[in-house]
Amino acid sequence: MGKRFRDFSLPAVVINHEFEIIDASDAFLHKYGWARTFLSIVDSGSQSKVAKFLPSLTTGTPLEISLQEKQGKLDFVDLFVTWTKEDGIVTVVPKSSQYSLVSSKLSLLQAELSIRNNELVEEKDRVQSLLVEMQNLSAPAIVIREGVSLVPIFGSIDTGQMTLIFTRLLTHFMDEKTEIAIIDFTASIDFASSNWQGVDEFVRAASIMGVEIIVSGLHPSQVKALNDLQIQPASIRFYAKLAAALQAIN
Amino acid sequence: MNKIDQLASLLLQGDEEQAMQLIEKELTHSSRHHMMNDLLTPAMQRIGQLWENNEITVADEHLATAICDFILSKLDIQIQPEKRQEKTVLLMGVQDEEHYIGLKMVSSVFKQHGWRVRYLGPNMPETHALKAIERWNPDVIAISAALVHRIMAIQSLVLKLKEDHPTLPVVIGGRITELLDLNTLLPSNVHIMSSLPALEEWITQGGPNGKKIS
Ligand code: B12
Repeated sequence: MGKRFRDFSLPAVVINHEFEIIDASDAFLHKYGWARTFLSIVDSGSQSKVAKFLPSLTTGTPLEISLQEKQGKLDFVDLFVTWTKEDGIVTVVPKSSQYSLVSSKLSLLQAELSIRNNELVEEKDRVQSLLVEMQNLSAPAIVIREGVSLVPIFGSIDTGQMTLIFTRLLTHFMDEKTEIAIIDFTASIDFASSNWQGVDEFVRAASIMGVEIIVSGLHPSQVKALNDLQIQPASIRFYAKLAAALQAIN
Repeated sequence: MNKIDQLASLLLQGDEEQAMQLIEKELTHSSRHHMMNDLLTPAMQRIGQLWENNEITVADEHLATAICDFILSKLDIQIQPEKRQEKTVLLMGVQDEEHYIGLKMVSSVFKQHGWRVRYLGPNMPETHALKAIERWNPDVIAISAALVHRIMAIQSLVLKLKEDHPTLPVVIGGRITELLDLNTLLPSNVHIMSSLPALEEWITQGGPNGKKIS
């Protein structure tokens, strides 16, 4: 082939039907170097594809494959071929390099982003454990004398929190050999009777452990609401004031 | 059509709903990770064969990957760890490696076993990776690579880790483990695992504290 072919602006080679390279454009040599056979610059994952489809590829139809550059980098390219009786001219058209520039930029940004994301995950973990701690603080169990524990409930508490508190209290009862537990709602704003769910089970578990539950600090209307819902276990004693509850156990 | 071909074609059609249905059906009699190993991975490999067979283009592969990624994320949300472990694993693909579907599956295995997962994603430049290790102080670092070309990046990272964090266990997996004998190319503190079942076995046997398999 002549000089005109070598000056061709895209990487291109002339190969015979055995894929042996007969001539190559400067652009090709620059990128892929000289090789005896075309297949040796084709990535291993694309070799069977080239071997199978290049011989019968029609003019103007692309064949999408990976080529290996001199320095080992993989290029994603379209091959076009024009066959004559003896040989074929193979032109290598890189899949838009703009695209690969954007995509490498994008992956760097993605890397940064994933670090940020992990920081957020960490923060979430921290907040979650703080939350558990806070829940413990919003219902501390205080031993006021041997066998008697006081559990003042602070702030507003939902069903999920209530369940957690109950579980923790049962352990506390066991550890402290509690006989009587006073759960005081004086400092708990907006107590809703629907949050009382699960209390049935809790009181039953407590009574199996030999613990009597006394509830104080609920407004009479709240006690009535509980009664109406019929979720109030019979074995709970109610007192409107904490002082009254304390007096009753003396 | 068998299940694998069926899933591959749903992924290629971008039909996430039916693909998800197929997977959910599989999950009625198979664990999440067996499904990933025996159905989802082969379906992605099947897509690779279709490309080699000139039946689809890279654009189709991108769509299928996106659907597969979506499904994995969806399954991830449903994970309820058996037991919380106070252990952290850092997951990443080495620099220039863009295949990340395997990495996501690995993340799911660790999560299922109650590990804290820090997923850095694929294509992590070495300096970023080292910074992340300082930041998260992980118990294990797991690396994924698909192409043999990544061996230099892996060697460089692993040697750096051996210098800076000599006791930090490193796990390496991905397609590269089937193509190269990594045991001869990497220091002996590196655990090489080619599949999710192998990883699962390692984790259940105590991971870095258990017996060494590689
Ligand atoms: C989808 C796909 C893509 C997608 C990737 C999408 C994504 N972001 O992940 C896109 C289109 C972007 C892509 C790009 C490329 N790809 Co590609 N790709 C594939 C394909 C079809 C499927 C890959 C896949 O998702 N498999 C499913 C996953 C789940 O399998 P896996 O990664 O092996 O993971 C499993 C195990 O290995 C293990 N595992 C994985 N990681 C880890 C880690 C640990 C710690 C453990 C324990 C286990 C473990 O767990 C998984 C569960 O089973 C394969 C074909 C094939 N046979 O694999 C080609 C393939 C891998 N790609 C290939 C190539 C060449 C490329 C490109 C270089 C093309 C190019 N010239 O640009 C680029 C590379 C980009 C880059 N810089 O990395 C070649 C590799 C050939 C070779 N020489 O090795 C293949 C084989 C296709 C081919 N025949 O040419 N690709």
